[in-house]
Amino acid sequence: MKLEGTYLFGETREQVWSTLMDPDAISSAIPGVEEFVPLEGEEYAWRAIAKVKMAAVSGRFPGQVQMSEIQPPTSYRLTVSGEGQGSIISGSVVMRLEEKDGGGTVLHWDAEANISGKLARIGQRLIKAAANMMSKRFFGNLARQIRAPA
Amino acid sequence: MWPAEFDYTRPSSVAEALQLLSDNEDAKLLAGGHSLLPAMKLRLNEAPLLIDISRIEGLGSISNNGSLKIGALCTHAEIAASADVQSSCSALATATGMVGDQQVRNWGTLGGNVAHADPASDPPTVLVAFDANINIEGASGSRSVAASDFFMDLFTVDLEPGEIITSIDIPDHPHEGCAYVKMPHPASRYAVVGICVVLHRDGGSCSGAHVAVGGATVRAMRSPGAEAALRGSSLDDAALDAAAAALKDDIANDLIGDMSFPEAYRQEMAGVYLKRAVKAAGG
Repeated sequence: MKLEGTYLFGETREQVWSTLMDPDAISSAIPGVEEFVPLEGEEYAWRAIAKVKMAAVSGRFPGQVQMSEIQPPTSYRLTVSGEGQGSIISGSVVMRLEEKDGGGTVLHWDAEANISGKLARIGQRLIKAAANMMSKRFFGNLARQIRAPA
Repeated sequence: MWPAEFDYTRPSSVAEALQLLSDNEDAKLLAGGHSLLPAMKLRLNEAPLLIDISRIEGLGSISNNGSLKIGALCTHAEIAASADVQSSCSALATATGMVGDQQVRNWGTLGGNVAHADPASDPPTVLVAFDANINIEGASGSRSVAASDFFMDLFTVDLEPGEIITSIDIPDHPHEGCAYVKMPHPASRYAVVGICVVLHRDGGSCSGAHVAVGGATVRAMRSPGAEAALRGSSLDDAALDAAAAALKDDIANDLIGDMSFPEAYRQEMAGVYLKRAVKAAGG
């Protein structure tokens, strides 16, 4: 399942890039993250636990978050994978930054999401909408942090 | 299929239920149980405690004092059969009469239905069309939310953990005709598209209309474009075409789709069913 979108920022590409590379920004953008701990010996990988509460489904999904294909300050790939409720959820998104004529930065994102197991079988009619909502929330959270740096 | 082990308690008042909710973070409220129990049996939800509110008194009646007040614990079957609902909001009687099957309607409650907010469910679309208000009790008091604000996104509503829906108000809304029509999924009977129309007539012309859509969208929502296209028209074919086109524009960013019924198909069908709903409402 493929999803994509675009965000526009007034900030410079370097400013947007530094937020995108900030593990705190990423962890607080992922909906429901309760734990986010660096994997031993890895600079760009974390062990995470996310609490998912949607419809009558509720549970904690342990998983991993990883950054790869890092090309500062233009693009990288963020991979998220988790397992729980008899299901495997994985998603991979490439974020690409482009300087806009006259200032500002455009963020393009291109994601591929996969879900298998019990959730996929039972939630067939809703998977796409759910993936869409989760990515909107993630990028919405991220956009807020880029616009209002701490 | 067996659910995971859980504790069970049955408070006798809303205050007691609120206290139990605030003391037990992962507890779930049990009303009719027709969305929660299947999820528990599939082990998609392993709530450690169920707070059974189904026997709390005062939440299960329908009254009409100017506006219609439906207790959160009223079942779909009770609402569909209510003379008060049939006379002042017949589309809600239609919609609740279409939920699931008779066994589901005998147990499933309106409060549980709106809290769950399945995008393919029927009653939310009617509540949004009729400007209903959702009445909520919480630890810090009570509040009331307009249905169109309450349904925020897929399975996402304006309800905090620790709050309980107590009733749904449908303001007095004199109208000349209303209807809820849906395209049911051939297997599940869930709405692939559901449309509710409320019409105001002034002689041969339409002096105002409310149009809401569900099933095709991530949440039940109004279509201001379709309402504007119907207002002031004689509800002729040209007006219906314009309303259908405006509706399709309004929902373009909120469509839902799956393998059998993709977004574009549902968008198209929303226009078709809008026309049917206007006709069914007497237009």
